[in-house]
Amino acid sequence: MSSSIRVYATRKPVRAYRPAAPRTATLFMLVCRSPKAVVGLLILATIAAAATMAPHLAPYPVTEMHPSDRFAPPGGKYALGTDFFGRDLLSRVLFGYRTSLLVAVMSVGFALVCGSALGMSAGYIGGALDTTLMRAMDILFAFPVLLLAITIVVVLGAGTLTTVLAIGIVYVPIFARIARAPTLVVREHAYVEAARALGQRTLRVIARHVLPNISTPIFVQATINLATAILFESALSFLGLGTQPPYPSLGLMVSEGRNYIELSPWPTVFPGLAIVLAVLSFNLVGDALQEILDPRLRQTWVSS
Amino acid sequence: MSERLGRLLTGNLGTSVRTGRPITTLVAEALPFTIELAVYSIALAVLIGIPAGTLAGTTSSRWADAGMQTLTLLGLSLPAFWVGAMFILLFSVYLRWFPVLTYTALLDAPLANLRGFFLPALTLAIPNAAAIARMVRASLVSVRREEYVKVARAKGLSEWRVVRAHMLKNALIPVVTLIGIVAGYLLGGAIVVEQVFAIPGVGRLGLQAIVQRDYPVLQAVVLVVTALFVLVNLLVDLIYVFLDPRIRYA
Repeated sequence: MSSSIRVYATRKPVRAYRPAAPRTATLFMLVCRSPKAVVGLLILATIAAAATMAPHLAPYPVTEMHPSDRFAPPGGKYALGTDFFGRDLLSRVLFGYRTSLLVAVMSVGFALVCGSALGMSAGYIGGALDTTLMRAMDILFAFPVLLLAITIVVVLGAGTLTTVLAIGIVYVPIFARIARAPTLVVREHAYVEAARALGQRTLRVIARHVLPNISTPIFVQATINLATAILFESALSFLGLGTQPPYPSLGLMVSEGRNYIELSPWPTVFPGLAIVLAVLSFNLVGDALQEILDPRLRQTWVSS
Repeated sequence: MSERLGRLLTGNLGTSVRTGRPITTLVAEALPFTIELAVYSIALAVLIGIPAGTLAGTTSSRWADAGMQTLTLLGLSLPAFWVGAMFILLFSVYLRWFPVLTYTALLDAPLANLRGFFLPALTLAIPNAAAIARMVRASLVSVRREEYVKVARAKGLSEWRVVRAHMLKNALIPVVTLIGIVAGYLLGGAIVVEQVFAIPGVGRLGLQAIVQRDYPVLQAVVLVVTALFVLVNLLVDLIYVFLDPRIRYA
């Protein structure tokens, strides 16, 4: 049985369900049995493929203007219509997905690496380091998130990379907390003590023995944060603080379309729908993973 | 520093670097909009979220539960600025049910005011209603098998009374915590929604201050926002006492 079961150990003994944290093969089977996860993963795979292949799939260059076809309705020459400058919306949505996914993956990746490292060090080493790090995280937490992200963007200058950093920094405390709590539990286990007794260096103990046993909740959190990161990026772009024009970003497209919404709703409708689809698919997968990995939630889910 | 703190205590927040106006006035002008929006949207979120969550948490139909779960996930996946824009397009431009971007004072014309604020409040309420519904469902499911629920049923109480008086009352404590956190954040100004609906609230004041690098204003906004957050959390702690008599503050 995987030792990570202890992360989820609850007050009540785990009864006759499956192991609390399934092995990879079992996890895969459980994911396949959850309709939510399957639908979410299918949409996600389609979006990711479309975003990767955007340069080949897009029917028109992304900034090419067609002055005679401004505000063309969906259908005909332009599958989703055109915007104020006569730019093809389908091409722009495809490239917008590229920006959204890239920013989401990079910012969550940044937060995951930095946050888990900080949380594990704080939890494993403890003492003054723990107090200092976690109070610093509390201070970051206390800021209104959007205000903090906007401040970072304004200080560093708006742009795609700054957006990554801003969202990443805002998410660091979340991962630090998620990583710290199970580290405190795992730290006391016999195998960690054994590794220490064998004279392994702290860094190696954390990487080889602590990390593998606390990774599950971190990855579930990452899935959920990927969803919110896409919303976050689009909100920043909407406020004019993310990706800069003429490069397409879904939030920026909504913001530009909004000015002419009475002339043609499509430039606002489609990028928004595209955001919803991506966020929803991440949320579906995250929700399903939580149900599968948390035996308490699964209990209600199976018996209801 | 001590001079600044002294001025703070007398309610003097200094003057804006950009406009030269006293910051106390700026904040006092913006705060009513933000507070009304926050209270309104929380009321809507509770009105939508608690019944929806109760339905999902007590129904014996797996489909109703799954449907509600999917719906709440969708609610959590909607970008506020897009929903706001769609609401304006649908209800203000096409159907003309609600006025566009006009806000009257609450006391002068209460009905017109509530009508004007309905769309922004609903936009803000959607994700929070979804979060509340999920929380209510999860807590109801966790109390469903408790002994006192069985006792209540065995006493022959109507199902409605079992749910309302025995299950919901116990399930609502974590929900009140959630509402408190949400309220705290909303009072910090809903930057995006205030921007979409052109509401001159605290969020917009903060955004402008950041973009124009008007640091005294930004400091004041952060101070006020934090103070409100603390105050709301204190209120939440006090509400617990009413919900659960076991909680007592000596």
